[in-house]
Amino acid sequence: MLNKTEFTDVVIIGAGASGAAAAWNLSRKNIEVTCIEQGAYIDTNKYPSTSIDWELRKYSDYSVSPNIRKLPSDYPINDSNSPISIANYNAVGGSTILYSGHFPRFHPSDFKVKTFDDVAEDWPIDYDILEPYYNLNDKMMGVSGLTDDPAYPEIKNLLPPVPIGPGGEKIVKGFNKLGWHIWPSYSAIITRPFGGREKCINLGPCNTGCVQRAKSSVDVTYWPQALQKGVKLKTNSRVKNIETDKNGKISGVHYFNEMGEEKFIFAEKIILACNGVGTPRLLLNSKNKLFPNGLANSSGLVGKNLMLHPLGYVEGNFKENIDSHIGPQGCCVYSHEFYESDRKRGFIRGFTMQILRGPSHIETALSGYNRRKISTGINHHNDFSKLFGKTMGMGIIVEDLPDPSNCVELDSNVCDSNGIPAPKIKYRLSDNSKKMLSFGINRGKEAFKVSGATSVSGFGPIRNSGWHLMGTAKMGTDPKHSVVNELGECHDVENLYVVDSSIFVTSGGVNPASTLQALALYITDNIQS
Amino acid sequence: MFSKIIMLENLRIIYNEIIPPDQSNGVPGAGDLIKEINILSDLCEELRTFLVKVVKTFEIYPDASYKKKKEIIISSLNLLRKENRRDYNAIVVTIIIFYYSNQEVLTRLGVQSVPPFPSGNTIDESDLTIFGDVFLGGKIYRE
Repeated sequence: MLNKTEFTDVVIIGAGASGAAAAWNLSRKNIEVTCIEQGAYIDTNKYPSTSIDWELRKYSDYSVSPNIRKLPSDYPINDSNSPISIANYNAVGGSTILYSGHFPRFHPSDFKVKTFDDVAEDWPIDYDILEPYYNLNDKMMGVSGLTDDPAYPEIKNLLPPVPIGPGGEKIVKGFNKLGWHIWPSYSAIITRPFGGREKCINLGPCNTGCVQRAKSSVDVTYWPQALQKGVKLKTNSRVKNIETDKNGKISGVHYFNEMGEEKFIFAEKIILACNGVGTPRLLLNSKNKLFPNGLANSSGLVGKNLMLHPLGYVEGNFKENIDSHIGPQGCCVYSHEFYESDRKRGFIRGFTMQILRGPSHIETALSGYNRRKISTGINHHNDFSKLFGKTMGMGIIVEDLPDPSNCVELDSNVCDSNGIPAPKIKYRLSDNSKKMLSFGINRGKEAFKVSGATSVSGFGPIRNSGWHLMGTAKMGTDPKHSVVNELGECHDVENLYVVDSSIFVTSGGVNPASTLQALALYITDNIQS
Repeated sequence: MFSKIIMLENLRIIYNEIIPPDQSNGVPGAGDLIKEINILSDLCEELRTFLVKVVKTFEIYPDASYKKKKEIIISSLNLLRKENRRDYNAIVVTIIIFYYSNQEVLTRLGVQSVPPFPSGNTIDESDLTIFGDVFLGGKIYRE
């Protein structure tokens, strides 16, 4: 029996990067906000980084794949029909718990791909509209970097950059020799005490949660402030579907609470913040007589145009010890030398080169063995010593252009622990992405060689790298060709909003966290007004 | 079924074959680190299967010397590597994880099993003048 007694002004579904920003922004006004999150609020002291098996936890309960973790908070994702598997984390803080903290913005040109490069579509909004929200978000999150970067319009008020270390210095010198752009990473990692948190002390394992709380995951940035301002947070609770009345207006959401009981909460407005897979899944699961193809799906574009940022990896090994295993693993320096389009390269749009520090001991041994760089038997120790502390990595983040055949659908054969149909991914790399990936990997190898690496290798796309889930509820002004309008409200359903990276029109070639949070702030600002 | 002592003895040979001791810097072999092991919970299925097969082989040669046993194990491992790379890899991964989780090994390698709390690691502040040429190169974005 449903208990229809709960009321709220706004329900936000999902307490990750975008949901947290939306909740905090709405809480600044006299609006009652309830956020429903399928995961828990994890105590930062319980992150694996303080235990001896911290690296191994990446292969079990802190894996990037929900299909490996299989925690009660996770839902299965059928990604067998994709060369890139979906990565996420379900908890208060969402995927920011496990992210490296890369925090670049989109370039101004990323919002105008049709105008500049005659591909895909322009966004209905631009960099100038989002800029104040990027700035506000940086202030809320705590971001380090270096001003005067020639790759961006001026970005102010950054904390000092994360120290790049001896490995980073080698790479910078190599890029300088080539005359290529290179700059300290924009990192959601605080390098000075900030917002009641202590600064980064270069522990390293950012990707299993930061016990120091120096990495700016939203469980330690937005959420404490949002809760203080009265936002209600329902954890370990999973939304089943969004309900509309006989006139097609939203009435509220059905959800399973932490006891597993089905509940209903009435709401005037509903905000989806479930990422580029979770959001279309929920809209498709909310189909009813008035919306037989899924809620807000008259365009047929809910779930379509999935973009994942195919990722290449380049590795360089150096003769001398450069302590590459010390410091934030993901954040060091980056290059946008090949970010803006140049058709002479044989592809359109561009990519980021993201210099990474080397792995710690177990990962060095395992990845070295898997790639036949570390043998068993008498040469094992010698092989290991050639890699450990002497390895730098490089991620090649390739801009993925929208393609309707890349999509999220429902899998009628697979359900989560509440019996809700799971998402199924169909995805392939375009020829443009393949060419760009190959070009990027070769440029990465070239840069590492010039930097003094004695051996280099590279490959891609990396399978377990589908973190950036974009495009599946596209923003636009035409209801026939988009799901939400330029203010994030669904064309088909009044008072239903999407604030996560589903609404991206194109993907840029950078990590999306900064942009999706800026969008969440922008959209919720307009909801208030 | 088989005595635990026999199982451990053979397991030590297998582990040391995959990661032997390194006399040059005093690092122990993986087998040297086995003190107590729960065959059921600490070993992957592939390693348990291989171990049982090896021990059964030794029943045919009850008086085999340590040297002879080692030879048999090495040839069995080599055969597995050739004929069933997947199982062989699973065994190697189990032994690598066991080895590089050991405090003694990590101390000898000069790393700690966990990042140093609460002091952290020291990395000197970067000399930002190395970005000077890039800055002077001017704007590279379109708007």
